[in-house]
Amino acid sequence: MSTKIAIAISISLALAAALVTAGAGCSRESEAAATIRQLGSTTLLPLAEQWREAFNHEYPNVEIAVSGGGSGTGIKALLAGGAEIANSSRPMKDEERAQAQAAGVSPVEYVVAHDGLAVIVHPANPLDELSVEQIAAIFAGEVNNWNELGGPDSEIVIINRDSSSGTWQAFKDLVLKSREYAVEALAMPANQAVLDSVSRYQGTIGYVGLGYLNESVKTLNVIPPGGGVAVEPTVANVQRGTYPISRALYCYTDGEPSGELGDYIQWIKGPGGQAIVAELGYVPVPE
Amino acid sequence: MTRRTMRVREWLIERIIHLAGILAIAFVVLIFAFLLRDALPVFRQNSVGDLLAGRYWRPTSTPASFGMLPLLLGSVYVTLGALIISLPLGLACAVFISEVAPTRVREPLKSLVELLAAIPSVVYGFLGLLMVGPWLANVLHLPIGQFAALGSLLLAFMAIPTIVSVSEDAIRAVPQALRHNSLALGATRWQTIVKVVVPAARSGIIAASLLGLGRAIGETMTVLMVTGNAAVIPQAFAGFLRPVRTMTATIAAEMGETAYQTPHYHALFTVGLILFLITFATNSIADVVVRRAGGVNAQ
Amino acid sequence: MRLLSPRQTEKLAFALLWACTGIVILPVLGIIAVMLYRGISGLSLGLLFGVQGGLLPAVVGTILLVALTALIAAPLGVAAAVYLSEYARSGPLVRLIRLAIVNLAGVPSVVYGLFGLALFVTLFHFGRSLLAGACTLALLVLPLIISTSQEALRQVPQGLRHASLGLGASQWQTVRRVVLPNALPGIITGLILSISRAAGETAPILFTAAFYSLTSPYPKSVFDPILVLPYQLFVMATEVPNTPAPTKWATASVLIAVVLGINLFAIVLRARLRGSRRW
Repeated sequence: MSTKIAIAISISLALAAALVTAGAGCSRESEAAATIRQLGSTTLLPLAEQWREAFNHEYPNVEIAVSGGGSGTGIKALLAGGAEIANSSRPMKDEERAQAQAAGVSPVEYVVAHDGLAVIVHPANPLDELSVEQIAAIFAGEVNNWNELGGPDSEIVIINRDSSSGTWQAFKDLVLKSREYAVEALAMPANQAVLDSVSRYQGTIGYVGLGYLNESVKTLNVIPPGGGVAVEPTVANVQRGTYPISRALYCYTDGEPSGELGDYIQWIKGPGGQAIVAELGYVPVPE
Repeated sequence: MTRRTMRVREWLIERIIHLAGILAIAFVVLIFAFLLRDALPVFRQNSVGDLLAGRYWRPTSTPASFGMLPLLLGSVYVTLGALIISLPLGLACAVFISEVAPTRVREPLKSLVELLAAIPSVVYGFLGLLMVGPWLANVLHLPIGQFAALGSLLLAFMAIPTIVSVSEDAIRAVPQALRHNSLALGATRWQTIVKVVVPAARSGIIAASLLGLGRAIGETMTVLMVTGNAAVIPQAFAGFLRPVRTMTATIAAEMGETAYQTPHYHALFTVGLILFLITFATNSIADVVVRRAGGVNAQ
Repeated sequence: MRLLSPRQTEKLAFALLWACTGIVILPVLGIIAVMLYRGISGLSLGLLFGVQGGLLPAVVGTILLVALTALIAAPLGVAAAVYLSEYARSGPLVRLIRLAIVNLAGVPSVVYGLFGLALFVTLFHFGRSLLAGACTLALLVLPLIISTSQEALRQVPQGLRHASLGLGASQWQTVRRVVLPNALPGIITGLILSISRAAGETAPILFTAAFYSLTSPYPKSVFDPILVLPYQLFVMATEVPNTPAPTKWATASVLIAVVLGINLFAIVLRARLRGSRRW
């Protein structure tokens, strides 16, 4: 019996060792060349879906597969050859660029839209405006009660995004700068979850892309750093550059795109694609 | 087909069957090996103390910090709460089904409890997020309907079927003679249950609790959806009514967005490894306890 | 002085046990009732069969995923059970295998997801795909298939084996011609139960197979990612902008219906088989 155990364990260990150390397995089949796979940021997802549809009206023979997953997922897929276009709501990180180089991928960056991040509260919240500094203090956990900001005596509940989301990163870079988010902040997997929580519970504050705004929440006007008039989060104000919390949205390709992929990227940057950007509540980029 | 080729074929088939038998061991070893392989690199830049006792889980900040204490405590809080709810309920249910309920309703009751286990965890999460959470927040005057105890409550119902079925097996394995002796001495059925049957099934019940614990600590989608995922160190009793972040939810929320072979990736595998070791320990102990008691599960 | 006589205590205690059992059972009935009530109002033919945003692709994806899972896990699981109950003699090796099965059953589902990501998605280059997800889920349901198959094999009376062996049949012939056919109904019941488990899982396929897309809902090969019901519910509940509440509830109720439907089928089947087979 004990020899059998020895055999069993050595087989298992050998199998484990072989698999753990060996790099190569069977290889993935190559995809049909005609398909453009576009995936990544959930912020860009509604845009990409509409782009695909409108583009296919003009170019019916190009097959485009759109999916979400998040900025990191999209970039990962681009590097692994699993996507032709990576959607990202933040610029590529240095470590991702290093990995791209190691994988022999040379990412080309396109700014395809701008997006404002609206700071949202429950409709019953009496506040109308906050300065960028105040917002930063809230999200860093330095201000914990609405009465410190002239509101009612109730606890501030911070509705944050997942630390892996591009929106989380963008809001941190634009508002908190070098400070960290409060550890008490709730982490939501997507813009919609933030919207749902803020619209349901009274003491909450959160942030979402302009394209996601609806009647269920109240947006705060934001006083730019250093003071001045409070600016409403609107497409026009983002375009004018007066709304302080805005960011670029990106598409990445591997190398300069040619053929159908090139046509598609040019179309997105052109009037057709940018009309959809405006239509969905994002901010078009000038040509 | 000649006798010889038949022999060879049979020999071959039997070898394959042997191999399949050993496969379970191979898979456990494989899972452990892979978790270890992808977890180890994180220890190059971080000490074990920094990881396990660190107070801040900030995987995407610069510099990043991978303190897992909030996640460990988050899991402990949610699991502890789930056990407080599920153990008494599960045990009561098991005793009822095996000792009190009329024979006719026994099987239907067991099937219903089994159905409780069949409901997908994402559905529990969905109900918690949209119905139970808002309702409890309203009743308890909480600022938000995503908190540790809500996760505990839902997990309790997911752990109950395990607790019921294992303790029911143990109770049923108690020899009938013990019951008869007790009743013959003039004890009531309830006295017999409390003084004779449950103590005799003790080890099976302990095993049931351990398996229930393993089930609760490993649950993912429900806690991800209802506990708020704030990577905070829970404070005393009030911590139950505040958002927390568990180990499982952290993996589920972040792995999809994490670049391959980065410190963050390795840190998440370390969290997975810790989970694996915890459940390995509880399951193994439960198995030993059941075996020592010579319960019905032992072959 | 005692407040209650032993009889009264017993009555009270039994009432309490009744109540506890009620509390345990109630959520099942409650969930089904809520799903029926809120789900049906959101159900429509468009939601069920619509290509964009409909549930059909997710239902098809779920079926593909569990079918492939069963295809991978069933032979392995049944073979392992045959080894354990027909070939192995009790001893340290069998004890070790049993311990491994118990542990395999206890590994958290999200840890299976990590393992699937490291082995199938990355090392085997399956990518985030139907195949990688099915392999991961196969591991997850393997212990369930082994233990239910073992149970079914144990139900076959020893006498049948002795008779077959006594007639000069070899061990494998006995297993193949006598034991397996008699255990088959039980094995199939176990298989159906594990399929329903696989159909409801989300965590293991989160990074190995699932994706959400309106435009390319059907996989073209096993190397494509797929839409499945539980993941679609998760995405609808948290990510998709402005999903109407009735649609979410309808999705949840379809998922419940699929999973509980498969489960009920297995339970009824088992009850039938138990009733019909008297050795």
